[in-house]
Amino acid sequence: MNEKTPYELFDHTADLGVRAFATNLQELFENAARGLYGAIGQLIPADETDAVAGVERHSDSHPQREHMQLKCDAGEHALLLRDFLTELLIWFETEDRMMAHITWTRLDETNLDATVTLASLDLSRSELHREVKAVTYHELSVIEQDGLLVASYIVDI
Amino acid sequence: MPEPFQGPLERLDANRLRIPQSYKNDMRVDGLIYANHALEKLIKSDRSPEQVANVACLPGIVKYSLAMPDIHWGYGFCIGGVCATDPAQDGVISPGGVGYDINCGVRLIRTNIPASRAEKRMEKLVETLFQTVPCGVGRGGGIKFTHPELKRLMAEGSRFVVNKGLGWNSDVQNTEAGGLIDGAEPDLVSDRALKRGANQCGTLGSGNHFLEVQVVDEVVDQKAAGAMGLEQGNLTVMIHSGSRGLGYQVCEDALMDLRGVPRKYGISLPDKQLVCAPVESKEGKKYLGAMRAAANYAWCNRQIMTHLARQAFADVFGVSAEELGMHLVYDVAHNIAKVEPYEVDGETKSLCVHRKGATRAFPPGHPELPDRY
Repeated sequence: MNEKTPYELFDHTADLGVRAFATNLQELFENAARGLYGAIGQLIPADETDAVAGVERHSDSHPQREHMQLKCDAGEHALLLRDFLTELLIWFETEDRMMAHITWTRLDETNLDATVTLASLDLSRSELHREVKAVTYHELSVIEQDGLLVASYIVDI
Repeated sequence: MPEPFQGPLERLDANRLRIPQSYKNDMRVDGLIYANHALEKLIKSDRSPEQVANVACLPGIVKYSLAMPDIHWGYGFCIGGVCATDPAQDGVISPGGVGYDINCGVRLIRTNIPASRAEKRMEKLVETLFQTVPCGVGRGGGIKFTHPELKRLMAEGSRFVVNKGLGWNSDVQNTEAGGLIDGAEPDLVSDRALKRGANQCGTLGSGNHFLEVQVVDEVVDQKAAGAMGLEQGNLTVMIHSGSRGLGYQVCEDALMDLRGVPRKYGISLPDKQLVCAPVESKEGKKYLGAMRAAANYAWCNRQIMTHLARQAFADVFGVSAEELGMHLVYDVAHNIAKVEPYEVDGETKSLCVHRKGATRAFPPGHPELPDRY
């Protein structure tokens, strides 16, 4: 894994798996979010002039974007990740918006507290490949492997 | 690739395999898989038999944890799994035994159009169906319902949309349970689920969902085909879809609500994805009420698409859907939990039957079938 490969998709019976890599937990959650959007397709925010398919690291300068407070609590990293991704999925499905930026207030074993910057999607330029019904609990894991954090999850499609 | 199943699979006869209760300490009944020799190797190739054994650990399970010949690895429950629990014996309801797509199901619509007559219009027909029946990734485009309308729709089932002119009276009779499962509690469906479902009723979705124009290739039972109005060489339409985002969210909400519930009731589970609650508990009743509401939504979803498909056919063939004989043959769910009466050891019991990717078969004369079947 390196900066260019924050996540990979893998086949799973009739569904699809996402594996994200990072050196710290915050980056892992962000890369897992990139993976979710990657599973759905090539998503492009309406306020981007360049085709940015994924979550930006630093740009948060668009006045038309909305900032949402997100809090989750769960008993372990993997469940916290699933809940976080589910929130993103619902924003995508019900409001055609994607996470463009995230500012972390807290992220530990049991709690997530962050401000998510949501950008509207440009549906005319985005390519939607799959309908993700849910981020499942199946084979859900966050582990450390070869000095990296690795998150795996299966989406029901 | 999933690891192959290493546990015991005993062949009972040409079509059945048994996972003995002794395989796991917590198994309450045997696992029973309907599979012939040809399917056995395939079934062992993933962990779906392990999931059959895990389901056998659920409290109140009756007789067997069952699996159909096409089982494959699912979430907690295998796809193609059936499990009946007895509410009177602390039997549980598990959202994983229904799946995310509540009341995903299939319906078949007959026509009196010979395939030979349709050949030249097939391209136009497919184009028109694409334009008329919304499909694809996550998009709406169906008939937009307000939240109060959605709640009525979930309370009244197929009849609600038929009364709005989106179908025929006979459609209701030809739908499992008349397109209405009793005990739906739309008020238990979250606002988030309503939001996900508001503009998706009457949309196909994506994944393995489809609307197909098919041909009756061969009739093997003339009497049954006659009763269903199926004739060799004629076109049919098959629709496979479910409860869309609304149902996914009802499942999602339940999985979240039930996280700590097994521990509360002293239920130990071999897999967290089997999260469950006793049918008679307040948590179990809450899920069942919302699940039934989502099931009714799914019947309305397929009903509206039936109406749209009829419109497309009428446009292309230049005559009404009635003249084309586009009657619904039947609509049956394959992701659902229903309370059904069964005779168990000489005693009639109301069992909570989970079917996940498994279709119920009705014999002639069954109350859920029209009389002519």
